[in-house]
Amino acid sequence: MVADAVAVVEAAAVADPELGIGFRPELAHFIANRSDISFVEIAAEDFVHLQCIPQALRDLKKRGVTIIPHGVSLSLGGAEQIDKRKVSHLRALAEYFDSPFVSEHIAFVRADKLDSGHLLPVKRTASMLNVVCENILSAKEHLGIPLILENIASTFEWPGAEMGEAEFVHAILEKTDCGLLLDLSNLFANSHNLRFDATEYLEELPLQRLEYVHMAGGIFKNGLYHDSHCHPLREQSVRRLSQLKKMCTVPRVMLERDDKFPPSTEIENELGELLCA
Amino acid sequence: MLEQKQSRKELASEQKKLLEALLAGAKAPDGFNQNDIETASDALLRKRIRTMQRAHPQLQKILDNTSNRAILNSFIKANPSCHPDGPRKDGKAFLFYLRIRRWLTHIGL
Repeated sequence: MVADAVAVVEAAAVADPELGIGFRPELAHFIANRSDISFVEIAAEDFVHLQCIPQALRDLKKRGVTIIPHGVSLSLGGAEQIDKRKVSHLRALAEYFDSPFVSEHIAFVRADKLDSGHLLPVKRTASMLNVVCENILSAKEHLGIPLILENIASTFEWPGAEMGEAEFVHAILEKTDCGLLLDLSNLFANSHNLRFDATEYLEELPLQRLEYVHMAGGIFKNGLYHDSHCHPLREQSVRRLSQLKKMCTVPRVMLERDDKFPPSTEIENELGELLCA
Repeated sequence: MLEQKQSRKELASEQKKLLEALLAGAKAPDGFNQNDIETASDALLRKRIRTMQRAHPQLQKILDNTSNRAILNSFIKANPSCHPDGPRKDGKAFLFYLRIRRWLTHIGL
């Protein structure tokens, strides 16, 4: 009886992930008024100089909110050597905010001075795997704090893949000893656009490495799903979060909203969905 | 080690070819679906313009003017790569380009 009660308490203790949201100036007021938000993610590229950091973020830090620097331009999946200045910038932000870790993507952004301004998929072959891991290990060494890696959304695939996406992500995380940032909306996008089974994907991931989960809304256009970050959350992504919570401990979950900001009640509802999933 | 380096070089060239198709209108590299690449290319272009507008809200009004739209198209053709330092710099480069084009038109060139 007592043992059962303890088990229930323990289950409750691991069942509730910490709640977070992507910090955007438009959401600063909303975030300041929510006492249940325990972490925010900041886009590293938005704060080129530490002097540009808004007071709202410093106030959150003072309140004990964890700030996670999140990069989009490191191009860890690029075949060229990574730009150490970008790694230094992530490190400087992490030092400034005393962040426990920083996060980036398994993606390439540029090649030979052509910059896509976007996260693009990497060819999933053994030689590319070596290159990506070498880049990540080099970034990790320069960072000095853990680097958490995220799966991206794509509408197309490279030909000649030698492994599936989940297998590729799994191999990278194991070889580089990095944590996982699982974007369930990106997973929804890819499983729809590239036609694979999302449950099998989750089963193939090393979920014990999960650090946090991204959730965002998107839109269907001509049969393809675009992860826009400016539309309402999809019911499918919320259901996927419920499924994930049954498969492993989800330490943190956060909402990403980048544009076309709805009334705050809608954001509140979406955060509620993340908690109740 | 040498094999790894060669591999990087080859992979870099493949990534470059893909970007030329996505950003600069080149044909999709072998094995890629041409339609998929064109769709992705359109999405990238829309994102580029949207993020420029977000960084420079005045662009929204400027681009309501169709002749400025045409100048934006020529800017993108001349600069297929996004600015490496992000949308703020990208938008700034376009605003500068726009000012020069308008000035050239003004003096009759």
